[in-house]
Amino acid sequence: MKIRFIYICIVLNFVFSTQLNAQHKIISNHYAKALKNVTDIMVNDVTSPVAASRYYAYINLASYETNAFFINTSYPSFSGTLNGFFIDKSKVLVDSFDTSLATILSLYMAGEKFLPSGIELRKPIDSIAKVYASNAYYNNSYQLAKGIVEQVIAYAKLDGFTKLSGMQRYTPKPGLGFWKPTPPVFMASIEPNWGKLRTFLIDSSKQFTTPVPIAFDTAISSKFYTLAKEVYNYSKHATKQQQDIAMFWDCNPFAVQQIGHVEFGLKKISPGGHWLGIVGIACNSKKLTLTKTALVHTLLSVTLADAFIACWQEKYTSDRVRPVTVVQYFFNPKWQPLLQTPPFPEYVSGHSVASSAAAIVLTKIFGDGFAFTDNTEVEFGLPIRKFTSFNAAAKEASISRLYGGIHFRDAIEQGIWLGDQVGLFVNQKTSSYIKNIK
Amino acid sequence: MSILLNRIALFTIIIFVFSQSLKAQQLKKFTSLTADKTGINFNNKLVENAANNIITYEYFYNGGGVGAGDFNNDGLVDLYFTSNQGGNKLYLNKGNWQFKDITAAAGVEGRQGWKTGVSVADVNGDGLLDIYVCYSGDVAPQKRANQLFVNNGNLTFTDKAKEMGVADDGYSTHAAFFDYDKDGDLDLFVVNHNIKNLRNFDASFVKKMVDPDAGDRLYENRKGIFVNVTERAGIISNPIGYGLGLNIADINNDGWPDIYVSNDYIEEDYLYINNQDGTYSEQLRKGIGHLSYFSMGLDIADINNDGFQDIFTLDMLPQDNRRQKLLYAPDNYEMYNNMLGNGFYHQLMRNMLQLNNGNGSFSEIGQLAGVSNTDWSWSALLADYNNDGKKDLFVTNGYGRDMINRDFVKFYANERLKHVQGKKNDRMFLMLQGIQSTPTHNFIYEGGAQLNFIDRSIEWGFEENNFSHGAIYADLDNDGDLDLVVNKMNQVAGIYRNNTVETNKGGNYVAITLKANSNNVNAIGAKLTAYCKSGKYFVENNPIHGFQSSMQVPVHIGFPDAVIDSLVITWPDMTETRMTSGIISNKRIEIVQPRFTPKLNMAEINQRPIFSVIENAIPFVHKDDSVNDFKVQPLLPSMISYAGPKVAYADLNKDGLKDVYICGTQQQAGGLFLQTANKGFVKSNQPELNVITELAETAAVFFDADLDGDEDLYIVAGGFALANSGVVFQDKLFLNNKGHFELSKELISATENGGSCVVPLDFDEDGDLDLFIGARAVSGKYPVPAKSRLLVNNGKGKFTDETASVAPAFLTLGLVTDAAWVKNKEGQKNSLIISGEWMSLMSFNFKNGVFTNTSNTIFNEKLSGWWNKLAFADIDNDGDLDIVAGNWGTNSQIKADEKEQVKLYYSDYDNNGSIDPILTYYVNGISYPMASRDEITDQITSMRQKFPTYDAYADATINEVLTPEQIKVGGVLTANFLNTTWFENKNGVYFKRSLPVQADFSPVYAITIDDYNKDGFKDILLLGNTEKARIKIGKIDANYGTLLIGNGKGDFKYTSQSSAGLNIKGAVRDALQVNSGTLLITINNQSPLLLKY
Repeated sequence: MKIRFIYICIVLNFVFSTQLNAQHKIISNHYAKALKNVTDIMVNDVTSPVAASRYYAYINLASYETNAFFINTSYPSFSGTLNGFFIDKSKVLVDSFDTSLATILSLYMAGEKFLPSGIELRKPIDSIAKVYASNAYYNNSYQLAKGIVEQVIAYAKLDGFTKLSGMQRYTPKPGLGFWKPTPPVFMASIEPNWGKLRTFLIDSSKQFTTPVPIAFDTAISSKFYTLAKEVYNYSKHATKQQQDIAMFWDCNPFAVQQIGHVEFGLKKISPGGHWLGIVGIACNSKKLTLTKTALVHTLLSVTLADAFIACWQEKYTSDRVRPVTVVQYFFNPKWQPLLQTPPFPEYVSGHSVASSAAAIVLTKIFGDGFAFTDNTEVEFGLPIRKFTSFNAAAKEASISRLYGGIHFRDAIEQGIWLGDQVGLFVNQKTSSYIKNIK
Repeated sequence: MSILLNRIALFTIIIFVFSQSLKAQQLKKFTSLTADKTGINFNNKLVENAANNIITYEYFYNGGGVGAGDFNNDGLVDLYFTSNQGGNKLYLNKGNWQFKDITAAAGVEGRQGWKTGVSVADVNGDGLLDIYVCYSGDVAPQKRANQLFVNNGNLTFTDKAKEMGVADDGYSTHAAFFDYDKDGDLDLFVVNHNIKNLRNFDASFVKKMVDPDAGDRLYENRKGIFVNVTERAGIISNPIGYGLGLNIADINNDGWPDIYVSNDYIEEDYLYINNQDGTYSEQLRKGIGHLSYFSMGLDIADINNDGFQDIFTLDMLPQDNRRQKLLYAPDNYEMYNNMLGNGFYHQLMRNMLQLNNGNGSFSEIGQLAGVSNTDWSWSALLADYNNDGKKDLFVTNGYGRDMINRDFVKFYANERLKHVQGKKNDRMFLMLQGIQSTPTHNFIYEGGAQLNFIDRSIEWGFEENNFSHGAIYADLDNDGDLDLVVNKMNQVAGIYRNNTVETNKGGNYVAITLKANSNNVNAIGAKLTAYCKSGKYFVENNPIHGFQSSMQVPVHIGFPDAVIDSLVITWPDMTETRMTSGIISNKRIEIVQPRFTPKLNMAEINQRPIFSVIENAIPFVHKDDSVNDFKVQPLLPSMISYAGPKVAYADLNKDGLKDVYICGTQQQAGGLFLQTANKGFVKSNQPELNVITELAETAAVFFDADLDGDEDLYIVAGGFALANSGVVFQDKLFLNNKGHFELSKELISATENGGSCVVPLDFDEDGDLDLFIGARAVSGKYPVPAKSRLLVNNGKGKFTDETASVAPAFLTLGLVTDAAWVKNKEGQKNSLIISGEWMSLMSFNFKNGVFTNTSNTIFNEKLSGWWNKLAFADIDNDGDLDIVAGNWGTNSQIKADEKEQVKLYYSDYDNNGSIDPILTYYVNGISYPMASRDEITDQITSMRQKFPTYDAYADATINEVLTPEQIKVGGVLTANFLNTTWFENKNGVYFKRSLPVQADFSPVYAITIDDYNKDGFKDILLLGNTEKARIKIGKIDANYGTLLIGNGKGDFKYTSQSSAGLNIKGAVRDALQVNSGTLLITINNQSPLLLKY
């Protein structure tokens, strides 16, 4: 039982899969590229931010667990660490295989199984098979990946997700302070029961309780009126830079455009997808090994998944109205926010929770003051932005929701607080993993 | 040898096929004539580019119109076509299907700009037809000024729009000339639309704004000069009126012209009723329950020859399953409620046929009639194309690109936009060019006898797929049948010769040219009724028919008889001409209005209606605010909740008057009302009854439970979408203690599912009354059959559930809705008759200690339906009890018969703890799931992997959706009969009989039987409607109280709403006789009504 590292080549971009770069060892940035293929499918499928965070968590986990199958001293499995997660090694075929190959295969194979259009990932898997057809280790690597992916799927099956489609959907409550469907297409509020899902690292979705939001009030002297007024003022007086920030962090998977009978959705990556893009950039610039890359991606994605579960728990507890409804009511019935309002309650801001949690975890791994150039949104027609630290990026992502007219300030501030709690808790619980990355 | 034989065989086949096709061609009712035959080569050519396309102008694909009229008074109808971008054309009819293009000489080509509708009328009353052309488009106002080509009498025309005041520069779609104030000249109504995208309808304030360029306009003719009277006349002029269709007709039969405008998008259509004082009132909501959402064209005509004008509006629901699945957006209750919440009305995406009930109400029966789905449709032309007296229907359709293709919306647009990134200027245009273009065939329907229309599109010669817009009918060869002319996009105009007369395949006709003695020379607005042996045939003389089209042509009346007995003409000035002689059939006649004609006596014949309605007779307003059941089971076909209020009755105080208990809801306690001789119904103070629980009260009954000689009250608990799952259903028995109802100390055993009905019965003949409690659905688990129960009385009001031992079959009956304990044969014991959804009517008899299923012996056939209600009476006077059973009806997309059954497959297919009900029904001969891709993936998430695109799902049948194993493991329910009907009792066996088509206008939930018109024979009153169906099914509200008059032999005739005196709106849920000559009607979320007769 010997693990051999061989020189291999891999097909990463299945869309243009003709260029084979032979004699090239799988390295860390292959991981990010493979994950990008997964992201592209999620974008095309129009995956909600919460669903995306869940997919990322399981797909990265499958990949890392495959990689960590034997290296269990310095890079241990998450078995026993994540809530309810246990890998049964006896169930996995074990023979000579190539760890790197299996890691990438596992990433694709998990994506194939989890995503609605995952079948698209058969293409890169088949391309890999073709290139390694004569490789003695290919079959075993494939079997290893398959065995781990199956166990991760079994793990995922019990997180409550499959029950969601059987639960009662959300019905808007009467009363102006509660969430109302928002223009332009007045979609039903999505995933009202997401807070019931099993969390990965935090104890439960209710572990950290955010303070109740500033109460809805129509009085001009009220705190709530001031909050609404602030959103309205930004829509009139935001600087070019503030508008750019709002656009950059929009991360709306499906912004509906309507021109007469012509209607279509413009797609972007979700907040989770954006942060996974950032972590790819970070791993690449640090030239991390494949193992470390998989670990960092997994840590980040389970953090994001927990952040969203906790956030959704609060959203459907407070069930607060969106600025567009309030500003139209108070100030201008024709008002439209700069960004399109996503279809779920306002408090707390999901991007704030996710970004803050991500920044805390990434700072612990890569250190404070880790400067990077964020080019994840370039393909969506947005510019690159430079950040001096993860924290700076997270702060900007959070406040962008105010500039964009889709959140009130307290939902951002409390969202940051909630994200911080999730991030700090994750760091504490995973310190034994993080210390090995450095 | 063999080669030779083969050749002979082949040759024979060719000859055979050839002769067959020739024969088929000969048989077709319409023949498309080509340009080389007619000389008509007009083509509405559209050139798309970055500056001119569907995004720069959203009505880019709406097409052009057709105008028809005899411009040179030679007795032949000439044709005018509008071209959006090119020049309009005028063709002179030379006879024998030869037309000559005289556009240039006539000077009627029109200007550059975006040309839309055409209106042909003798505007100045000089005996010559003029042409009015509408303009729109994203151009400067002067380029949008409409033109009026006034006929100089020598086939030349002069544009006098400016000097006459009709150079309207709004964004015009169409216009109509008619005499709105009856001063003897023609006034003008112009329908405009907005070219800006204003779909932000959350802002209902837009409704109250004024935008004259987008809003409609009314002009009054004052001695040849037209004056804008829009505002004064009460015409709505807001920016969201995307007017596409216009018809003028006397809708309320007061003799004055009313206006119907069909509006695209969120703004409702307008039904302007003429106030007879120079103003209009918009009254659509007064009589119409729901309407087309994206209304396009329309037509108004009397489809059932009752003398009242019916309204047919067009929308964009495709006919075939594939296009429905590709184009139909998922049901969005938030958006629908938002629409209502912002002051807009019930609107659904399909054609609507509003049958005029003659009393101000309209029954929308487009789906019953079979004309609701004709794809993106423009022209509707209701006319008698086969001269049989019944109006037929021609519909043009087609849209340049499938803008709302769900794959485009969700996947393709974004992909393509990414692909063409960088080419900033024409990026959108490049994207647009990738949108599929699907030509479709036009529809023609033959009018049937039962308010139905039979699709004859292919048989009658309209199989060609194209993009068709404006259209007119006119007898172009003066042979006595109506030919059709169609303006098509990027194709030569269609000229369709009607072969009815040529092939001798129809009835007879008369074509009448009217000449009035006013400046309204052609008597626009006159009404013609032909009386024949077979009935009367009614047509109103209005030239505006067809999308952006009009025809000032002779009035055509077809009839099946050899002759007309009399012809009555009501002239626009309300004088009347009656002709009983001199009308020869199959002729073209001209009738000139006599100088002195008697004024029409407009006083209504004051016939007393059968019923008089008393509102607010009971101090109770039902309040039902249940959860949206679709939020619990997204694939539910129809809501289970909103099933009340049901009523129990008894004479509690022994004063000979029935007292009633009206069931409560989760938001409201029920109420006990005592009827008194002089004060009517008075609420009785009953503290123990006055309790609100999380359970709805789905049924109640008064009976003497404890044999103490008074009436006790049993209330059934139910409810479908309960917030708290795991709730236990606890029925309640209240014992009557000297008029005070006290909760019995003997608790009724609780159950895991709610009930739907309750029947007291002494099945064991021990002298006390036991109870059958019918149950419908298990909360949140539709359609798993709930357990119905048998509760046995110990004689003292203590009830024990003995279902398992005495009536085990009751545990799996199905979705029970109603039941009754009746004696269906003299000398025999009673049977328990049961109705239910997805069930055939059942009967059970108590024999040898158990209830046994006797359905097969008592019912002659198995008719599985969505039965809601049972009623019993001796309908045919033969001494036994017949059954009237209320069903779903046939006025929905879902139809069923033995061959094409509706099915419901159900199981927890994805093991997520919820039941997934998948309903399938037939569309064009194949059974498909009703759910859209979004809906099925929402209920069963794993379906996303099976159907990654809408295209992948578009042709899926149940066999693609479910695996054979899943089908095998799960349950299947079927329905093969959805009509409300009655069953004749013949010696103890029930045989299906039929009721008039009006019985199937709506789901029936309440039935009463009595001799309402006092002719000695029993009549049937059917009540119901449903307001809480899926959005795709929509409100079914065509029943305003359907009274069927019986002749004592089992034949029934519908009586009109006005002679019945019934105009009951809403979802009726119970009806019962409270006194002789008085009915009590309960309506969901309304006050009960009393009907006196």
